[in-house]
Amino acid sequence: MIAGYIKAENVSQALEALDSSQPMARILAGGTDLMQKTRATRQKKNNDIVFVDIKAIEELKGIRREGDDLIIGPAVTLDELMRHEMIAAYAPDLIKASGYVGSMELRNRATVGGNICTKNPAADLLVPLLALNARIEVADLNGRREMELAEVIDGRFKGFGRRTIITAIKVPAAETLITGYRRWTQKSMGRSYLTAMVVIQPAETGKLAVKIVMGGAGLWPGSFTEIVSPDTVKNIEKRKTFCQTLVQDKLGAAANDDAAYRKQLAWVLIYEALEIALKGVK
Amino acid sequence: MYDDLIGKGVPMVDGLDKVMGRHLFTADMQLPGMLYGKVLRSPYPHARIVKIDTSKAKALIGVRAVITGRDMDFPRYGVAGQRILDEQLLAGDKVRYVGDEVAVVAAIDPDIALQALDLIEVEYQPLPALFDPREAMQESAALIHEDQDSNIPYKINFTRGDIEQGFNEAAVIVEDKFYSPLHYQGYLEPQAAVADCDARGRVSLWIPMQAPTLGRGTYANALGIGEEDLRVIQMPIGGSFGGKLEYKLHALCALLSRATRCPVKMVNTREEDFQVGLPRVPMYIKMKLGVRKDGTLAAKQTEIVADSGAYINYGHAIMLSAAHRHDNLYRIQNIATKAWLVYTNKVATGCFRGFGNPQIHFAYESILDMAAEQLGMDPAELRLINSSQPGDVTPHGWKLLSCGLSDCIKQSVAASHWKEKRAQHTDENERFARGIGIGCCLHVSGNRTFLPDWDGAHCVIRIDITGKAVVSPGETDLGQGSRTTFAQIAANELGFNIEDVSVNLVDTDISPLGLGTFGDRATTLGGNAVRMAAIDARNQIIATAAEKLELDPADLFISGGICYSHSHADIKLPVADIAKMAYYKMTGGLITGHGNYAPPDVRVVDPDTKFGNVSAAYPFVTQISEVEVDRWTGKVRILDMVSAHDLGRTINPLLAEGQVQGAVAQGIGFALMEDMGVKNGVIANRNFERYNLPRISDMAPLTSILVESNDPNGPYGAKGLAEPAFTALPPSVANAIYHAVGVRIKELPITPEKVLKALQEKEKNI
Amino acid sequence: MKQFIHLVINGLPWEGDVQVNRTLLEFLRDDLGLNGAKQGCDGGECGACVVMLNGKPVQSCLILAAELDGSSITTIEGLNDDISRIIEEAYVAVGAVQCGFCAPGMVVATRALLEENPDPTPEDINNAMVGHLCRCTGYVRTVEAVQYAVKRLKASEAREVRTNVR
Repeated sequence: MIAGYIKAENVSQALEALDSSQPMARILAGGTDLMQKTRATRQKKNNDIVFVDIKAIEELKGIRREGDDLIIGPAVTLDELMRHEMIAAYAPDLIKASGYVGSMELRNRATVGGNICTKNPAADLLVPLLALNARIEVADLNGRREMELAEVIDGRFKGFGRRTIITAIKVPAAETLITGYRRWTQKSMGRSYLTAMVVIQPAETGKLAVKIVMGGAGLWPGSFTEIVSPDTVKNIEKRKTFCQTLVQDKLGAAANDDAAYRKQLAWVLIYEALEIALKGVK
Repeated sequence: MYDDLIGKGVPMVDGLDKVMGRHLFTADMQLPGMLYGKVLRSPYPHARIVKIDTSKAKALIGVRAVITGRDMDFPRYGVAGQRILDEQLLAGDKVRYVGDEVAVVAAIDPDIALQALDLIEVEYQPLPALFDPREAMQESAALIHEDQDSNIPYKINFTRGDIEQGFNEAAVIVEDKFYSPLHYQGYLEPQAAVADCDARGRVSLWIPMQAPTLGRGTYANALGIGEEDLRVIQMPIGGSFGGKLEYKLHALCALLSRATRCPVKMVNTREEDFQVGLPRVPMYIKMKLGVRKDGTLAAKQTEIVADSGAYINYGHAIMLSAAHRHDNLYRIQNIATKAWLVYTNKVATGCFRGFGNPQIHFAYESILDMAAEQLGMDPAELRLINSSQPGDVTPHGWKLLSCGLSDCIKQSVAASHWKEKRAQHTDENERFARGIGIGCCLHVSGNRTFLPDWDGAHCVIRIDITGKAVVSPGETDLGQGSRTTFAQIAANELGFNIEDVSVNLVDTDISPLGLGTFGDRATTLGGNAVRMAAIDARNQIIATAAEKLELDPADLFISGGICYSHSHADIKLPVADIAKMAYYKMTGGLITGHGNYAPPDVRVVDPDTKFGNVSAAYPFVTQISEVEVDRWTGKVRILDMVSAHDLGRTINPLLAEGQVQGAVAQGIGFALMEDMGVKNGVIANRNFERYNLPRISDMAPLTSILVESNDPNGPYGAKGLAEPAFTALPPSVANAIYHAVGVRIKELPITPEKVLKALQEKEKNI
Repeated sequence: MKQFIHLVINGLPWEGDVQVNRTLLEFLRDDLGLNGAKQGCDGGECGACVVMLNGKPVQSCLILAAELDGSSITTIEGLNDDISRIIEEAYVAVGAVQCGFCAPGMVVATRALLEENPDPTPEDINNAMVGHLCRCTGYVRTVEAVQYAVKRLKASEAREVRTNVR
């Protein structure tokens, strides 16, 4: 049963509402995830949920440039993200990733903040944001602080707790990154099952620094950087071996019953992401 | 002469209502003072009910009724024609599956009803549960229905010809096991019912129901009332595919209405619908096929273990259809078949497009390909050699008065570039491999398998004084457009414009007591009755005009709703005027045409041998599918499809093709995507997030070929459609996968994981 | 608990209390009697509940009525313009409707698609309709219906069509 609905006008109000309405207070952004997950609870009279709606909070909306960073408001919908020219210019993989999420109807409501917080280690935007070295700013009753997104995820996805709100997502604006993004889903309009993103940058002595972020297999999500000679990833057979070895050695044991299948898909997705990325490498 | 509208792609007569959101479904109904009903369901797959205390629930403000199996002696009943009465509306002493109905509540709003469910206290004594029919059929297994001797309510055992001799003649013998799982109909409209009572307690049920007449009988039995005290009114159906025949929710709604004397609405949540619907009967199939050197089929031995779930529903007839229908597809004389319908502590299984045919054809059409490979013969060629032919009387006594199977095979082979594509082989080191596969099947057009008395159809057509015709059939429109087809047939024979013909939904107080729509019977049986009624009405219109004009009736004809004369060009008499003449003459009576169609020469099968010509006409289908298999992930992508359907005669190509397209899409789901994932009797994938229904992105290009074999019994030669188009798809895909990568998956659905695992095992074995 | 909201529904203003537990879908069907949006799954998967919110198509089962203060909603009942009529007629004409349960949601989505992209490719149509489940038609004709509507819209400036105002 939804016992309370609070439309917050600013971050402080939202934080207070969250704090005072625990244990069942939830941030309501797009609702596409929250409404699905609380369906059973909403139908029961004795489970009192309080929704704290953050969509009216101006500071959580919009996309702007600040110095070297793109600042994305957590309440930005995936549809807005996909249409924004700054994202197209500086972080086009976020557009590609968003395009896979659900349907156009879903993307008109689903938010960037919501996608990060959905506790799916293969979450569509989570992986590219990690690959792009995103940082987030969070606020709780003690104040605001900035953290590396990777630090938050930290191998065991803990999220931020229920009294915290993401107030900004900061992505270094990079005009010329060589990247590749691949995503696998089990169902036709399904959540991401596995997501892989690679970022290739030149390293010393003509080598390549290949950063791979993989969500959904083994550690969640795992992020590795390998320094390799260009041939290791350009040659098809060597690329295959590189990916298979990486998955074998670096991705830890997963708890899922389908761990073996995930591992198989993991090296294929990384392989394909590399293939996409290498199209942009001379 | 009256042939103008046959073969025309007339759009659905109720299409505009549907797209504009004006088409009223059951859940859209509101009646004054309406209550909302909810069902308390067993959380255990098998348990004794020790005690039920409803006092707290009854005391909740807003609750108007709480009924349990202890409140009255609920009669035992079964669906139409099924003689083992194993069901009760509410569980008596035991629950037999997770979801089994224990109690019902009616309250002034749905939230209160749900709250009341939580307040009903039930003490269960869990019992060991059986989930695998192969275990449940063992002598030592605990009885699920203690009033029966075993967990096997129905068995089949028949032979034809000489099975031993047949296998002796075989050059090649192939034998294997196959499994077809639980499969959910996935209609977009969840099950729903609205019931209301009059002052004397007579109940009206508004339900999306394929067979209102059968429902009336079954529900009256279930409620312990006379059929005269129940009226069933068909509502527009939001998809059914077999899943909206007799369904307990309907009767429970009537029960609550009778108890409260108020209107009551009950709607399944989607999760409920998954857990307590009537999904397809799972089957474990063992098949052994012998083929002679010349490619003719020598012998077939089959064993089927069919999973009935907790209750039989139509399981007996579904199992029979799996046991014997496919034997009539090709010429084969020596057959031995055994089948067991077995209870398990899972959801009761029921009818879904194809009945038992899809399950068995998956096995049969896979085995045929295995035999073709061993013989070194092209799979299409093997099927063509053995194809049934028009005029055949099969070992089961089926009379194939029309049979376009050979044409289906030849035309689909040509359209799909079969020969070239069969000759292609992808190197083992290539990531993506292509393959092409074939599957065939047949079906019935209505059948007298389980209702002994008759399998015909009646139709009444009234000609109003405004010159419009109102058709009352006994067959229901499931959304597939039978109203449109009936309007077309009626308009065609009457000589009216189709806009001047309307078709009623079925109401047991008003309509002919028709059997409804299932088993592909609507066009062949219902359509014939409509045609006859229209001819009857037309003859009366012409007779009336002839009398007035003092002309020979043979001189007159109707076209575009106007009566003309062959000999007098100046005669142009609108039907409305003729109808008025008749109305005055009959002092208020309207010209009414009756059509009575009984399919000739059909019978119920012999109870032991299962011999008998069950249907008036048999449609045939050949499906060819081309796939691409990703060796690295196991993902199968369908590239192209050709579907050739012998439907006798195409009455409406727009609707006919629509059926083929929908059937093929469902086939793709069944073959590759859909898995209910049952664990310990609980459906794990019980919403659309987890259960993977085909979406627009899953469809592949489809070429549809309609073959017209002109059946002598069907109206204008038309036979059934829609079920066989589904049945043939899964084996064609399985066969295509084998052609592509040399692995054969024998358990549906063929998921990427299964393909990958099979590929990895194949690699190890080399 | 209730929330007071003002909104515009199918062009007409509305204000009143809504239960905070109510979804937009329930509000439309049970409080306003607008039954065109259907409850197929109540979980954001089937698309039968799709309506326009501030001009954009959304799944009404995933939105609380309480969130809608200041919003404008258009349901199938409110799609009375010529373009919508041509879309509806196209679905019927090409045989893209069978049982009709998914149809209103698809029409709303199509209206939204053509508003944004008057000449969609088959891939654009697929992307727009992937959120809509249909168990009857196999979707082949869904693509044809949209293409036929586009063709008709291009051929004629949307003529005056008799509208049925609810």
